[in-house]
Amino acid sequence: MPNLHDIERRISSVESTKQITRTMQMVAAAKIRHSQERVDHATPYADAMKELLGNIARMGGTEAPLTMPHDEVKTTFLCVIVSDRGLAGGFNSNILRRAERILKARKAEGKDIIVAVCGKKGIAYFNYRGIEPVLAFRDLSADPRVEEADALTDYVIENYLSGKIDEAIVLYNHAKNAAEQVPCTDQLLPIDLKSFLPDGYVFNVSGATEADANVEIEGSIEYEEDEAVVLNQLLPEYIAGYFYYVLIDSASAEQAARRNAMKTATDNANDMIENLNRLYNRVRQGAITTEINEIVGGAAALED
Amino acid sequence: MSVIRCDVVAKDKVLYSGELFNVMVPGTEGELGIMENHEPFVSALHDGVIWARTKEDGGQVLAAAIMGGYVQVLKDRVIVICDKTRAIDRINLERVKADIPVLEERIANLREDSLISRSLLSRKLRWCKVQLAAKEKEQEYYGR
Repeated sequence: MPNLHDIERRISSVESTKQITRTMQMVAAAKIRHSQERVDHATPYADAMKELLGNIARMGGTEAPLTMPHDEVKTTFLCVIVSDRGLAGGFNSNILRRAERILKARKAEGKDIIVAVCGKKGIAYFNYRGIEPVLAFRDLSADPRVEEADALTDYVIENYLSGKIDEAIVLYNHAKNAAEQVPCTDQLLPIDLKSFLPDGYVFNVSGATEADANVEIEGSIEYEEDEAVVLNQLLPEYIAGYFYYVLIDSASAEQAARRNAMKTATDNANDMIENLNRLYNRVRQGAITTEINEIVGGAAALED
Repeated sequence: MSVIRCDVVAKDKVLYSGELFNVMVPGTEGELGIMENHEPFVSALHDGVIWARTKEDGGQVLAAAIMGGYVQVLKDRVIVICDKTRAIDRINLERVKADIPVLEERIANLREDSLISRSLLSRKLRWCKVQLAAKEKEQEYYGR
């Protein structure tokens, strides 16, 4: 039996932990709204861009260099987007585990892999394993900016076109809703325009729906002034928009994941305190009973 | 009546989404007027003003300054995406006019190596100038 004082100390320790987790839960809950709004504002642009590129695919496609796969995939560029802080449940480890799997698979095939990381947790993870990220961003998971997205865009485009990388994969958490985060693996380069309009996908931007996204449209698209000129501006624009969108999406998912994790932690602390209180009372009652027994026993001994 | 389904979206907001009679955008080779059954095309846009009407004569008029845009036309579908946009009647002329010299001065005083702030500030300046030009164009339009 533990003594009363020990239990008291444990209760107060759990209480103070609970205070921290509950505060973190409330802070994360307050941040969710802001980050969710930011994603909502950026979604129409991302959708319109996808529809636009998908339409190009439906109308015969294009031969822009960014959409053409390289003959042989020798080097993979892997962009891992995680958070700067922990205490968000499986938010970081889900993504890092996936990254590890891809790394192993590519290594087994004898291919090179180049890693870029956003978020301190990812940087620490790769440094520990002796992998030096080519690009590393920290302190942005709360508030990603267009500049970071632009830096990533410049890097992938330049190296893809010069043949230093042959494909680009992005790993991040998608904020499906406030309660659920879905780890996503996106193939960014080469850009597959057809993938923007998958089977049975019905576009619905302005309230009207497109009949069937898979029907090829007659004729061909004119480019003003020249296909290469327009697409060589538009596709990098898409990639920059993509990176920015993914960063804010991940930021939103991070807050949601943290709130869930902290809610669970607070609930657990409550359970623990309840159990400890029960134990405390039982021990106290036991001690009183023992004392009464002693007194009664002592009095009986005197009477004899 | 001929109708086009049009979306005008910027990186951070939707300016217009719905049906229009026609729309005019600042193409790379001059103003482009788009109506139903236009030949499919994709084009980059100059900074300038986008005009649109819901009916042939009159109707609701959309007029907005846009920067860094692209347009895609497919029969009756028009997608305009851009970096920034603002309806002309929401442009605060005094504020834009006051901002331009401030931004110019800040750019002039920047250190050589601060590339990010330079590109940020020049973008802001460019946006101010686009808004100013749009406002002037509108006054010219209604002045006639």
